Amino acid sequence: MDLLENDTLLFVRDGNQHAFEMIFNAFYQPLCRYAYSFLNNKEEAEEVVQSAFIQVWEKRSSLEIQTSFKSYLYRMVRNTCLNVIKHEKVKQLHAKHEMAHGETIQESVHETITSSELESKISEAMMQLPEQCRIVFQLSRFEGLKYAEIADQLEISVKTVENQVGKALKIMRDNLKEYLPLLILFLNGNW
Amino acid sequence: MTEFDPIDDLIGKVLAKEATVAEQNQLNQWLEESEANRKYFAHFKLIFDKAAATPVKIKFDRDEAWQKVKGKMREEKRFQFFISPYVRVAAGIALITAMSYLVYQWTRPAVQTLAVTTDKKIKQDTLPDGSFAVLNKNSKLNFEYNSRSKTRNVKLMGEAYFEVKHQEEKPFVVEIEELLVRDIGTSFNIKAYPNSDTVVVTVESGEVQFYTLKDPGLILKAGEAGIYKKSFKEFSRMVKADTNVLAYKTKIFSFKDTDLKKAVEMINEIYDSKIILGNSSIGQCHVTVNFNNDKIEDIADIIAETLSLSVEKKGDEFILTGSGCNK
Repeated sequence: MDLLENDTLLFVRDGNQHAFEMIFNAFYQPLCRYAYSFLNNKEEAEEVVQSAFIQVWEKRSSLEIQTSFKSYLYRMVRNTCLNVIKHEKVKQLHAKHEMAHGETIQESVHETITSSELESKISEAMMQLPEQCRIVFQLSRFEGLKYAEIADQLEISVKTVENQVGKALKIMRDNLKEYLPLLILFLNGNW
Repeated sequence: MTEFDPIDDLIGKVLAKEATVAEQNQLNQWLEESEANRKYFAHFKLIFDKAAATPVKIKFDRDEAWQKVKGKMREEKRFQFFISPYVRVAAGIALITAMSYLVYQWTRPAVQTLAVTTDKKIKQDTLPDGSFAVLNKNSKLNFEYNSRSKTRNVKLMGEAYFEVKHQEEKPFVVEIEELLVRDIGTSFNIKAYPNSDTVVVTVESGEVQFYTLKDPGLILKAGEAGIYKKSFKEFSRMVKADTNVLAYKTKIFSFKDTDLKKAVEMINEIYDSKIILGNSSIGQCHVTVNFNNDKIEDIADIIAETLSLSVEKKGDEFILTGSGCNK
């Protein structure tokens, strides 16, 4: 993938649509998943990534990229996502408020729960996490980033990352408690 | 209310493979302590593992997104075939390698590209979408056809005639720098040489829109021509287009009271052999005559006969001489 980066950039700077399309094809989906870690919303994630590409294209002649093109794109998407979140703070507060009342997850417990049902319960629980906690946890799980990388990207300390991951797991475990004991039986053999 | 314990962070670190050996041992010790601890850890691990599955399930449609992004990229100013000289060969190789890699990686719908360049000879070709184009001398045409999305992306420098296979929802749009010509079921000619200040679109049949992204421009009907002056960024309409513009394709000329000088220039533009005016005074003569795909020697003879001139053939040239005309 490194091949793509800086040489292709020369073509992009020159206005070559094919080169640009190549970069788009290579990075679109990973960037969307990355944006999704922040926004938890498919449409918003795609919108952010598309507008980042359009910005790159519009500014192509003045592109001065210090590091790699890849990290440039990621930084752009990250900043936009954080802005989106800032603007949606009100909504987020509302969601948190709802969570405090803790009604969303506690439904009646079924006798059996399939693996994919559990996955969707987990993803629901993840969306209910406090914002920073959720983003840290998702960057770790979705993007496989190291704690140090997460700390760097979000401008927080590694210690905070540790706390947030622990906290995320703990909150989700408490919310999902009702589903979990049933599974422990077959789990025991697995780890 | 959820209470937080340092053990939560420690479990997180171990699961995320961020723990030191000492921390790992510390956790193992804690796990030894009780069944409840092991169950607690198992819950964390289950959540941790399953959480990663979420984004994998979400499908981001790259092709659809590209069409959207591309639509917003229209302002592109330069032609793709103007790859600037300082783009190095190495970059070219890298691009090809990267492209092959990507083609291998994702089998993409076939995008057919056709690039045609002419210098001294006119070329004609059927485009991948079934449209027909004639490319005049010293011109470049770049045609991109995506057979899946049926989008057609045409770029022109120079002069070309198009007979468009109209597709209702997939307009045929020709780009000439910032200018756009969109067909509405049509045959039309575009003359857009970079060294000229004007771009002329002549419509033979149907309708076209001649516009830029900032200016809706003109809707031109059959028989009309639109002229764009690059220096003023202004469109103007000619209700009766000069039909001779298509002569490079048809070799059909229709002169009415035209200066011989101008008529000969137009003919010479199309034919490889040349008609030369032996003395400049005959250039003032007016001719009214039609030619329909005639041979150049016949044209020379007919002109000579109409205006009482004499013809002399020298190599590829036909030299007309005479005493001029009465005004």
